[in-house]
Amino acid sequence: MLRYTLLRIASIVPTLAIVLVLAFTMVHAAPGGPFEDPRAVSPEVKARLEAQYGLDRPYHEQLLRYTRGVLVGDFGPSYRYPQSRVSELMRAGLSVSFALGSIAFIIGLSLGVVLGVAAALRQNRWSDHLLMAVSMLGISVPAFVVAPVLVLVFAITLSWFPVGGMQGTGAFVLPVIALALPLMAYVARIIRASLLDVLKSQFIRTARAQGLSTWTVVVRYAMKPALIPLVSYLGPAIAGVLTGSVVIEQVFNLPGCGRLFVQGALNRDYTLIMGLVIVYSTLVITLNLLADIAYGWLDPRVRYR
Amino acid sequence: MTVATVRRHGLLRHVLHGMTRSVFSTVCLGTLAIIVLMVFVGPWLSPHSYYATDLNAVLLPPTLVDSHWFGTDELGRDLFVRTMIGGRISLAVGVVATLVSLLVGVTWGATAGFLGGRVDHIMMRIVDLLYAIPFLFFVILLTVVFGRNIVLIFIAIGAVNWLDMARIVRGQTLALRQRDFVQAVQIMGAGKARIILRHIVPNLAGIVVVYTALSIPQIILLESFLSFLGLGVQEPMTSWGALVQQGTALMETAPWVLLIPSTLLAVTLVTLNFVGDALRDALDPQDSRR
Amino acid sequence: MSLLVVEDLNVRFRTDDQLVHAVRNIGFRLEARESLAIVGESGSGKSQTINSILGLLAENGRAEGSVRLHDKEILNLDGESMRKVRGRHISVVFQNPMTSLNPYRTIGYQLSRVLIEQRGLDAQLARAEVIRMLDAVRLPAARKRLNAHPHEFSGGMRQRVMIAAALLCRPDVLIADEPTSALDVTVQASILELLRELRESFNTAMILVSHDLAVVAGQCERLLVMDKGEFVEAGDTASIFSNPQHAVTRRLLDAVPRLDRPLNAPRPKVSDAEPILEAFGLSVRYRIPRRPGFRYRFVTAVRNIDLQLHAGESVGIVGESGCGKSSLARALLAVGPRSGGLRFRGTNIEALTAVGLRAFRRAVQLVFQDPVGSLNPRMTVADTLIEPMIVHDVIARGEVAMPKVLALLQRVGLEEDIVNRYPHECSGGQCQRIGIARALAASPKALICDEAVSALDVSVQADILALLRTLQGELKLGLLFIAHDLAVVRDLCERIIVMHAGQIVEQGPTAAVFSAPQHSYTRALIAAAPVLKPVATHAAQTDLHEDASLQPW
Repeated sequence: MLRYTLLRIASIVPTLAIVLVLAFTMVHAAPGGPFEDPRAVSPEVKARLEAQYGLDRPYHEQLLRYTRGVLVGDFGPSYRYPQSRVSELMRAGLSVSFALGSIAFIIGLSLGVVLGVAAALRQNRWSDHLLMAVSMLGISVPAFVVAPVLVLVFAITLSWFPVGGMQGTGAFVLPVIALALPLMAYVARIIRASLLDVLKSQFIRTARAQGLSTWTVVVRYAMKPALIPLVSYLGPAIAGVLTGSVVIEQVFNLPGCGRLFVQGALNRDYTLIMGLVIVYSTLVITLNLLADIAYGWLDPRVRYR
Repeated sequence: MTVATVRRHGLLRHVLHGMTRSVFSTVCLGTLAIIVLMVFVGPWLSPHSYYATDLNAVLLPPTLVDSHWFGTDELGRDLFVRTMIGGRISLAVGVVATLVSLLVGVTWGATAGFLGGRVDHIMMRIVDLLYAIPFLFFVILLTVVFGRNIVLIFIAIGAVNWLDMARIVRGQTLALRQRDFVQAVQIMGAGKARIILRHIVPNLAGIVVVYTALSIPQIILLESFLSFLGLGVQEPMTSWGALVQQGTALMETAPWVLLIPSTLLAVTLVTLNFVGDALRDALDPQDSRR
Repeated sequence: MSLLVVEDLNVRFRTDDQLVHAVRNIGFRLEARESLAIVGESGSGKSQTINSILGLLAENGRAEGSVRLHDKEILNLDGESMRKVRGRHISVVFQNPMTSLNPYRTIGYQLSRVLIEQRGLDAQLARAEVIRMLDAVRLPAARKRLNAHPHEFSGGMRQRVMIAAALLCRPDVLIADEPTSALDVTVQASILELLRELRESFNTAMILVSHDLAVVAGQCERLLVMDKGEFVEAGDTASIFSNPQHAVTRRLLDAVPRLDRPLNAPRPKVSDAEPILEAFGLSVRYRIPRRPGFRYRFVTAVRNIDLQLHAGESVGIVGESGCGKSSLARALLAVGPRSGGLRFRGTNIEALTAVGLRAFRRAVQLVFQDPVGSLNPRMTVADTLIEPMIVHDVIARGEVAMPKVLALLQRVGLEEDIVNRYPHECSGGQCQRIGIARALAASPKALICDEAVSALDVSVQADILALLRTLQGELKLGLLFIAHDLAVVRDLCERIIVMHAGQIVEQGPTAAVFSAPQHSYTRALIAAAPVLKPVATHAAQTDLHEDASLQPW
């Protein structure tokens, strides 16, 4: 198990390398450099700027330089705001995004599990059907539809919460709801399906035949195997929260990484986008790895093989 | 003898029977059919075009006057036609990108699964590696770098999605190869082509159909996400995601600009997901997600 | 007052389009310390009877009537009251020990849990009691294995753990639902012996449910025969065995393969000419990939086998699970890994031309263990049977195949109307007949049957065996019959090969092997075979051969 874990950890290095090279190459291959707009800069200024950013060097030198920088946490200067470093912009954004994302993640996950279990235990009753229909809505209706509608109803019409921005905790309520909703819906469906599957298995029949309490049967016996499909969904879930936060921050005007990302994309701020892609990828890959390792912890048959 | 016809209709008959048995999935199928029909026929019913601006009719609420059934946007463009045209784009992206991923994924997965051994190992390692990369960010990066381009979006999304398909098909093929009935045909001395075409492929069909059905809404979602961020189709062309974004900016003054495309998008995605689920249930009666 | 009284029990299931009446108006009494058998084919309603007594019917099932334990009604009790009956007063051992234990918890945890919840013991006491019980079911080194997960045990050991779990609360009634059907013969014998012993020392009454009369013969004083949801015969085991009244009972009795019946007269050998199939020093080694980054392991499943199969003769290969029988079958068919020599009509397989290989693929066919799984679920019966005819040009292009298909169906004893069905619309026995028909479709010379009847009910098994015997005689087939059940092979084969841990330990004419077994393993197998002798103790000396030690890996 230990050896497997170490191997798994080692295996993310090539993936991260590919991410970095891919991102860098894409930006490098972009038609027209960052200082292409002839109205903005004269040819002389452009040449000077390119020399300053090292853009006149050959591809591999630039890549090497960039990689070295990334390894020490320096993602170079922003092309759009030359006075600030990409890493500083990202650090500021990350604290907002992290707070938003982690709260939504925890709420979505725990509520999803609770609702999924509740639905499974009431299989085919009306409450189960209702819950599943609502969760289907949660899965299908994109965050960028839910978020504006939430704003329209609760912020504009009812004025319960601010429309956007960062004033007070109230400002976080709607974004967290919008972000947690799809996650919760997914988790609820996964848990319901897998718990129903597990409850049909023979060892659960045995446990019932032994007269064990419902609590023991569901929580002590069925829950662990029912969580396994959830663990393999955690990777996509994390990616989902990250992309969701891109939209949510945009709609609610929160100064997080997501908004940074969109603005960078619209402003064609290559270095910023590149940095964010690398950071997001690293995050997703690492969290996937953790989910993988958790898998082994949950299933003893994997653990001992 | 009707043997041949019975066989050909076996799967289809089974699926249709399974799906139409539930009133609910029949309703979903019907709704979906209406939306598809509307999206493709709708623009011809209206006297307006999707790009013509009319500054005398800015932000009209839905009205029968002058045939602005869904109202107009801030440039006076007719929202009914724009919503229908946007739906065309969204649906087309969903279907075409799914077909791309279907083609690549099934070929890749079936090859790996059927050849097995070292080839399979290498092919799946490649998939694993690509799988670990969060491609959505790369799609965005791509559109940022190379400009908005609907073809690019097709390819990019299709290229991301094939990984799932390849994994599923490969796993299924491997499992099928081990099944007794495939071994029976091998022992019988049947050729590879016969084994693949008569025994592997028909048994893959079910899962591929289900997965395809479930991947269309995912891709529509992805496209509208990109459009919402302003990275999708170019103005004046539009898609549901782009319309929602437009509506978000105007929701305080003209909520219908937001609500109409949002509702259509949501209904389409919900019904597509329900239809996919119903398909899965019809093909796999043991499944509990009902 | 009887311990358990069942009266007018009816069980109905509501499915999508119909109401299934699974159990009809049955009733019986179980006295304290008595052991009672319920016997019937699968689908006869045995398990639903048990489930309704335990309150474990599926959601769509309803039970009516009366079940009284100690004169207290327990049928359809509410969840909490029933919980106190289950495990404490009535406990159960299920068929498949592989799936009946929670794979995610240690066995110590699972067994302690029962004591903690049912008898209110604290963890410490529960643990001690669990160890005592595991010792009682003779689980070796019980104390050390409390922290092991179920997958670390062999099938027989898991069933011992299940029995221990069932007896933890000293129940009044122990229900054993096909407790040995998933186990090897020698393991079955030791588990049955253990059940008998424990029942006596714990003063527990038992209901043993089985499709196999041989299993209940040595265990139960009283017998209930069930068919289509009803009891068709009831009485004490000895008199039912000696004088069965109902046709179903007679069928079940006749179906049991027996070691004490006279042997079939050996068939005249067809020819001493070249064998169809011949193996020299045939071995099978599997490379088992471990986790990425680890070295491969090799496992030898079959070691150095010499074997000949002539036209018209039938050879039985006997051995228990994991002895390499199936690997051998695959190797003989030249699919899957193998090393050593394999000859088809005197020519090495590797040296065969394309035409020769086609002839080999046509001449030697396989019948599988799993009847349903061996048929393509997306092909009709007709298509399945036409396929080998197309592959081997039995039918010309454009020729109407149906007459040949119908002839095949008739040959294997199937009705014509099955021709357009899909496998899932056929019963297990029908599927196995289709499998045999497919193997025969291109007129083969030899048939290899890999556990071809072990997934079937005893009565269906007897039918299929009779069919195989007839076909073999009529078509002069070389038959290689692989089985774990000695008695089955004894009825069918002239020559027997006993395999153990990938090697042949004994071979010879059937009569000789049974009358004077040379190898200790053969003797153990013979001793373990259940005998149709009511209750008179049949103690098998099989502890030596506990299953775990028999598996090569």
